[in-house]
Parts: sequence; structure tokens; C-alpha cells
Amino acid sequence: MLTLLLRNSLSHKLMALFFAVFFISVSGLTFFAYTSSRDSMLQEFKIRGRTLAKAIASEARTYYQEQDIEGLTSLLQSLGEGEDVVAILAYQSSKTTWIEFSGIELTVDDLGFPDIGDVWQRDVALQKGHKVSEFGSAVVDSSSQTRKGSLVAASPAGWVRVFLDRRALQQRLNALIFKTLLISALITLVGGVVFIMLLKRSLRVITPLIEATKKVAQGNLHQTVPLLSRDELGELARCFNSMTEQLLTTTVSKNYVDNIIRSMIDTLIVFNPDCTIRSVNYSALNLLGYEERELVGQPAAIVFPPNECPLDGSKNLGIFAHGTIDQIATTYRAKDGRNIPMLFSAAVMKNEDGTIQGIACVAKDITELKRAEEAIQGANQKLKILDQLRSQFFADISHELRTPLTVIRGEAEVTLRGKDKSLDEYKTALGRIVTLSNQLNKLVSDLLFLARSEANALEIGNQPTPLFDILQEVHREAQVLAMRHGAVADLAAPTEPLVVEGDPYRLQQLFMTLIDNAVNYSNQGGTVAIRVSKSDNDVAVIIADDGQGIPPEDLPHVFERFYRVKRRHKPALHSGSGLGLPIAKWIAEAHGGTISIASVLDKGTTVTVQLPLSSAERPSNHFSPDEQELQR
Amino acid sequence: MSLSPHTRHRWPEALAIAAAIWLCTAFAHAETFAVIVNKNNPSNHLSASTIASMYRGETLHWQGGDRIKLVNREISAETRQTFYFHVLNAKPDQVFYRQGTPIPVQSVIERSDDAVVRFVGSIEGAIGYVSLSRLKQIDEGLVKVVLTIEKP
Repeated sequence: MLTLLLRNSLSHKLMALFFAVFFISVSGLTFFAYTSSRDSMLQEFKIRGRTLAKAIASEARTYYQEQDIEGLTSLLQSLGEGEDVVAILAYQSSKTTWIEFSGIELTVDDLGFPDIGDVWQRDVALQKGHKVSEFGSAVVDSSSQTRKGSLVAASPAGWVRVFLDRRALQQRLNALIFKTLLISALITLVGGVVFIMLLKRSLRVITPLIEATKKVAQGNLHQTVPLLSRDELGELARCFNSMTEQLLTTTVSKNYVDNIIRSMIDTLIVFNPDCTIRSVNYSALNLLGYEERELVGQPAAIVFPPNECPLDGSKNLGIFAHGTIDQIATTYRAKDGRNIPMLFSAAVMKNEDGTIQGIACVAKDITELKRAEEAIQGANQKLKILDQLRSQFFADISHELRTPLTVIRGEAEVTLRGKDKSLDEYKTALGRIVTLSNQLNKLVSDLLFLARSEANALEIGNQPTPLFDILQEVHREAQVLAMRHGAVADLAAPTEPLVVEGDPYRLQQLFMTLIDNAVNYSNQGGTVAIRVSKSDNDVAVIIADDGQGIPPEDLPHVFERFYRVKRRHKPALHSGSGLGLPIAKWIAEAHGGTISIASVLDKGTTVTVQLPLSSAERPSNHFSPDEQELQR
Repeated sequence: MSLSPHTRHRWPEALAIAAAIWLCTAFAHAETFAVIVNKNNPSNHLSASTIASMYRGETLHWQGGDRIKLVNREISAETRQTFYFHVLNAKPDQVFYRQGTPIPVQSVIERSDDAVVRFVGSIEGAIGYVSLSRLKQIDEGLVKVVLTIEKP
């Protein structure tokens, strides 16, 4: 725990270091102070003991000479007043105890004279357990001392023993130890607090620096730390700020790159070297319909259809050897199982030492592209068909223009050749030439009409026109035409004017075209029926024949210009120009109507023209048809 | 420094002594002891509490101004035990300190009644205690009794 604490925090390390050094130095000083104090105290104690013993001995001399017990007792009483003086013993010259002056219990053994010289000091333990220091001194007669020079050894008048209690000394030493330890602890504590404050003050830049560095590591470069000091740490903070500033200007931050990736339109999927998905951008998630957590960590195969993963295969031969895959068409598999065609590029990301970091795959959804391609191809196909139709038509039209001309020329040449012919023969020939010319004229008129309609140069009249009159006129001509083909034209229409807004000439042209077609396609003895039915707002003219009909494959195209249904029974000479129905359609639509065709092969064809009635002809919204009838 | 650690460690012994005192009081015949002073001492009668205050170190001087010289018997002496028990209300090895100081109250130790009588008789400021019967045997007129205490 402690080592963990020390390993993780610089301030703790410095604190530990400081406390170690400080503690050792304070301990050393304390020990030095204690030992010197103790030594001086011991020294003082001994000096005091010796001095006391000597003083008593010198003062006691006269009392010894006079054997004055009272005086000696008073002396002992006055000099022996000290807190650590526990007993004073006075011995006579016979080495027997003279006066025992004490506050503690002494046994007979303790009282015995030690006889170890004139002046002595020693530490003894008394019989009853007291630990004392004993100081002894001989009481020497001054007169004998003066005679010391002549006599070798004058026996002393007596001895004095002083017992000093070592316990008091011990207590004082203990107090000394306690005080020094207390002061040391206090100094260490105060010093430690001051040191910690200073340390925190100088290290406080580190915490924001660490936070800021972590954020930079996460890609956020907009980091500054406060400059709190001018020392090395302050310098470090300043350098950090300038570093992030430089980084901001010289490199792109992760945030910036993230934004780019997020706003990419193309899908970006990054794979790990083991082909599991590392990251996916928004476009890819959007396209495939997954949530990010559903994809990250999954094998690459999840986004590809089975057995189509381009990253699969031998790692030595595939993308890992080559390094890139450039714009191949592949398919992604969406969450709902759709296969999405993609234009796929991939690149292996390598570290500086060549180890593979991952594979970045960019792919583009080309569904729309494919669809557009198909549309263009379809349009192209149509254009080709149209072109074919047009060349066919031109061939036909040239043929059709040439055929009557050839016949006219032939007719004229045959008539002019040889001897004179009868007037009837010339008349017949001229009549045929006129017929053929009419045919040519009609063809040219049709072409002109179409050319004008294409150029929007045709004017359609806009006058109230009674349809019934037109139909009767058309019916008359139809009967003539039908008779020529051995058929019958039948008109069934209500005897109402059936007024429409329009151009009578164009309407006649419209119906004539349809009837002409019907008669042309009807069989011998067939019937061309013209029916008219009126509804509230419009009138429908139905022209039906019971002829050969139109093959279903041709039916959708009959209103296209130049489209001609291939005739099975009749020669090309009698086929139409391929312009009749388109002209009819154009006229019907120019009048705000519609035209439709239905046909059953070998049963007949029905063409329905629907035209809006003139507003005057329409019944008012406020009246029912019955009421209208009554009003009339 | 209220109680010496040595006495504290000698509880069993103290108890034994207390038991001995009890036995003595129970079996020994009643004995009277006397508190004596020098014959020149002006005091003729002292109360037990006055004597106790002297031995406790509360009173240091006689009324005349002389220092009081306390005489004690050794701790094991029966007389001392009795005296401490009845007058000082303390155990015989109790160390007294001069009032308000760490200075112990010291006394001259004499190891017999005769020595006590001799010492008190020769020193004016002295005060001691002896068995009354022994005092009567050796009385030389040098001391006077200021208090007698009947041992129950």
C-alpha cells in the first residue's frame, strides 16, 4: 500500500524523502543534545555529591574534635537539605556509626563502613532496593593536616558518607528525553507542514498539466494550463501551452479528423488486422442500417454477402500483400438483408515498423449509378428502335412516293406509245393518273400536316361545331368508300346537334381517317359501324369494324408516328402512310379529347374518340338531365 | 512524588506488616509509649497532632526558633510501627516531604530506646519516642515526657 502510494505520487515521494532526511537530522540533533545534556547532568550530579561530602567533612571537623553531636546533627540537617539527599552517615574514627541521618530505611549492612580510602564515590544498590550514589570523604583534623609533612599518615577523625538518590537524576533524565523528543516531534511536524505547503504550492501546476495532457492524448488540442510559477515547473507549463498551440497550427486534431470522417458522404469502415470491424462512420451506419455497437468488433463478413468478402482469402496473397484494393465493384449486405452495390477501395494502414495497423475501406453506394446506367441503356435502345423506325419510314415513304409516280409515268408512256388510241382509252388512262395523283397528294398533305403540327404551325379553329352534321357528312363519304370495298357503313347517332368547340374541317379529317382505316381493314361484306353516345360532359364516337384486327404486339404502337402494322393479306401499295392514326390522335388531343383503340385479331378493331361537349351544350350543375328535358 | 515506587512494589510486605501489627495489638499485652524531649525544652506538653505535624515536615522549628531534630527508630522497630500507626496514621516506611518541596524530611535514626533517650537527653532541639516502661528503667532525668500514648 505504502509502496503503491509512493510509486504513484511525486509529492508523496518528495514528502517521504523530506521526512526521512528531516527525521534523521532531527533525530541526530536530538540524540546529540540528549547525550550532552545527560553527560553534563551526570557530571554536575557527581560534582555536587563530591562537593557536598567534602563540605560536610570540612565543616564537621570541629564537631568531631569536640564530639559535639548536636552541632553535627544541625550541620547534617542544614547541609543535607536537598531533594536527592536520602541519607547522611557520620562515622567515628573507630569506623563505627556515629550519627545516622536519613529519610529512608537503611539496614545494618548498609551502615557498615566500606573502608575504601579517604575519598570515594560509587553507585550502590541498598538492601531495601534504593539505587543511590554514595560519596564519601574523610574528616581530617586540620592540625594533623598541617603536620602532614612530618607524619606519613595521620588517621582521620572520622568519615562522612552521603547518599544521593539516583532516582531523581533518572527522573530528570527522563524528563529531558521527553522534552527533547517532544520538541523534535514538534519541529518535524511544523517543518513537515511548512514543507508540504511549499511542495503543494510548487507542484500545483502538475495536476492541471496531467489533465490537459490526457485531453491532448484524447485528441482535444484546445488545452492551456495556468502559469503559476516561474520555476522549472512554470517553464514546463509554458512549454506545454506553446506545444499545444504549435500542434493546433501544424497538425490536425483528432476532433478535426473525426469531423471529416463523420461528414464523409462515402462509407468508411476500418478493419483490424484480424478482419474485425474497428470503426464505422455515420454514412456506413446509415446505409447499412446498423447501430455502431452492433458492428464494432464483429467479423468483416457481417457487412458482405456470404463468400463475397474481398478481405478474405490468404493473407499473404490478398490485400495484405498488395496493400490496396482500388475501385472494385462489390456488394455490401445491409442489416435487412438488402444487397447494395458498392464501388469499393481499401488500403492497408501500416506502422512505421511495417506492422499492419488496420485496413481502411471506403465504398460508395452505386445503386443510383446502376439505375441511371440502366435508364440510359433503355433510352438508347429506344432511340435505336426509333431510328430504325424512321429509316424504315423514309424507305417506305420514298417507296410510296415513287410507286404512284412510276405508275403514272408508266401509264402515260404506255398511252403515248404506238398508234393512236381511242378517246376512251385516253380517258381511262388519264383517270388512273388522276387517282394516283390524288393518292400522292394525300400523302404529301399528311406529311405537310405532320410537319406543321411538329412545328406548332397548325391552327385549330375554336368555334361551336355541331358534331351530328359532321358525322352525317362523314357517313355519306364512308358509304361510298365502303361500297368500293364491298362493305357497309352504318351510322347510329342521337339526332342532337352535339355541339363541340373545335374546327369542323379537322374533325371531319379525324373521322375520315378513322373510317378510311376501318374500311381498309374490313373484309368483304363487312360492316363499319359508327356509334355515338353522349354523357354529361362529353361525347364518345365509336368506329368499329369486323375486319382482320391488329396483332396485340403492334397495338401499343399504332399511335406512334411512322409505325405501320405489317399487313398479312394486302400488298404494300394499299397500306397506309403510317401517319393516319398519329394525325387522328393529334387532332383529338388538340380538341381536348382522347382517342383509344381496342382490337382482337381476326375479329375487328374498335376506335373510340371522346370529345368534350361545348359548355353551352353541357347540362347545368343545378339541374338533372330530366329537368333539362322538361325545360326544353 | 507522592508514594515511593519501592513501597508500591512492596504491597504484600506492607500487608504482612499490617497483619503483624494487628496480631501484636491482639496478643501483646497493652504497652504505653512516651514522646520525649530534652529536659531544657520549654514545652511541657504537646498534642498528638503537633507531634504529627513535626514528623510530617509541616513544623520545622520549636517556638523558640531552634530547628526540631527528629529522632526515629529504624523502620522495623515495633515502637516506630506503633508510633507511625497511631500518631502519624501512616505506614512505618512512609517518606514525608517538607511542605511544598521535594525535600524529604530526614531524621536521626537510633536503633534502640536507650540510644533515643541518650540522644534526646544530649541534644536540646531533639524529639523522640520510646517505650514508657523502658524509659522508666533508664531515666536519668535528661528528658521529659510531653505525651504518652496508650496502645489499645
